[in-house]
Amino acid sequence: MGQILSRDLKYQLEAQGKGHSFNILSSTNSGALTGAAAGSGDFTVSIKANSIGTTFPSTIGDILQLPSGTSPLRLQTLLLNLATGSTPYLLAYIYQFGTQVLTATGDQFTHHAATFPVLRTQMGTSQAVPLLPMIQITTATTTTAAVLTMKTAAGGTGYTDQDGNNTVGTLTHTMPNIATAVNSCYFLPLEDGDRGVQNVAAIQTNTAAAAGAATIWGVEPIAFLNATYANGQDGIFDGVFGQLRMPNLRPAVATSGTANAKLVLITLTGTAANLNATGFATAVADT
Amino acid sequence: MGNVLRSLDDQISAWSTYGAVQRCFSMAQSGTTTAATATSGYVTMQKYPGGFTVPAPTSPVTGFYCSRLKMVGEDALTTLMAAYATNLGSINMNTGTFTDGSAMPTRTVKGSSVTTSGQMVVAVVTTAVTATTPLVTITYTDQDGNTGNSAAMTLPTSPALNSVFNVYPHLATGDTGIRDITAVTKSAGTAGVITFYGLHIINVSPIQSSAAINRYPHVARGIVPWVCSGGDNIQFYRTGATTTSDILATFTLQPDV
Repeated sequence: MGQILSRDLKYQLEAQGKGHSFNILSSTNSGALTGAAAGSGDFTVSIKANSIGTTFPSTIGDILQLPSGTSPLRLQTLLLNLATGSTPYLLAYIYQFGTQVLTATGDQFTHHAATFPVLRTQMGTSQAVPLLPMIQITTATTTTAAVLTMKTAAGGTGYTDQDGNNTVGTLTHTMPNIATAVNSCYFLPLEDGDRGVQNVAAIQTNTAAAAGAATIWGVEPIAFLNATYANGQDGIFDGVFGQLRMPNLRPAVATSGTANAKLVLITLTGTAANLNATGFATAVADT
Repeated sequence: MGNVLRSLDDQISAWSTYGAVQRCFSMAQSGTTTAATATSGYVTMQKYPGGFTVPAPTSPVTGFYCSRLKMVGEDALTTLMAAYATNLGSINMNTGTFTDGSAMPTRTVKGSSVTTSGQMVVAVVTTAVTATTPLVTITYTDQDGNTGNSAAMTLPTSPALNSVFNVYPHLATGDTGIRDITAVTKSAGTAGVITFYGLHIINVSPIQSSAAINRYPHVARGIVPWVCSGGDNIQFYRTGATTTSDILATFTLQPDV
């Protein structure tokens, strides 16, 4: 049962050191990306991780260094210096569904060892977390724009939707360029009416590239921020005085096994290498 | 206690009756500092020399609340921070001698007396260190009063004066705070001093562009409303860079009765 019963108690817990105060963050970006197109999710997505301990694309350092443990940490305030204008930011957990080969056609998805869905206690019960499927290019593509569909080559289940229904995808994701840069990320298309996935089970490479590989992630948004104009405004998430919503900074937990979960910033932006973000976050333990 | 926080009328009345402490500072980080690593805090930080010591209040004033703090930074994409700092102790990197400081103070927070921990505990190079990737082990009392826990950090080689390394990412499993440091050891070194400060944060502000002023009013944004006492020391820090830089700061301390 939570112990944060009032704002005054929140302050007192924080003063005692029961939480995670003022985690100063400094991000690094992954360099120049290939912009999305209508057939590749519309949004050009970029992962930003901690500037120390990150080597893109494979080694991603958590943007916040949380104290070890599993008891909830309630996010109070997140403030970021957003030097790129007109840019939505998400603080998000990304969970690795698996990897995708882009150089051969057919069933080319290899699932991570962890069993999905990832679970989070919400409103007192353990619930499956719906995630946004995202592809991260880990080896740049060449020669041909790869095309993917979330299904097996034989027409079997591609993903489990937000309600737990096995779904055979019909929509295609087409790389926006025959040379899609490493670290470029895009959201994968879902069937009409679906808004997230509990799991990705299969992805067919319909059209292969001469080179290329990808990691498939599931994105769980924690907090939303926005930069209205460049170099002029902080992005602020205020979970105390703003939204009366203090999300849990701990990751969701795999049904079995250990998920590869990373706490990162996700930006939706243009193709240029993005400037980095600095800022801070505070959270209080809720046990 | 805490009258100044109770209402705007109380705040205005206290200011009118007892006055306020207002100061403006200009400080320069004149030397390059050393970047953090994954074994020494994860985020690069530096401390500005100097600071401000809160004057002793005159009865019936019992303390002060910082109602306004503005900082102007020189470089974009860095973050400025001001905090009340408690000297928890220091280690001579030549002799290995630990000189104990003070435990984190007890403060009244929203009407309750609280045994505090540092919101952040930092290792500051207060005399330039000569040491090859020294392993520094800190023995501390945690947020629940348990003694004997330890945090181990491997610092960069010979960190420069005013380099700062955050201790908290390296706490023992399950710990979230430090009330007191009881011992510090080092594995190598022939010169220098590292001082450990426990910080109670007044305000943190990212700087969007060169010479921008922080826009984040801490009063209404969920930061712990610390009431400070005479003798408390305000220090200023910068994160995200190792270069030389200047800072201008202005703040107001309102009397608390």
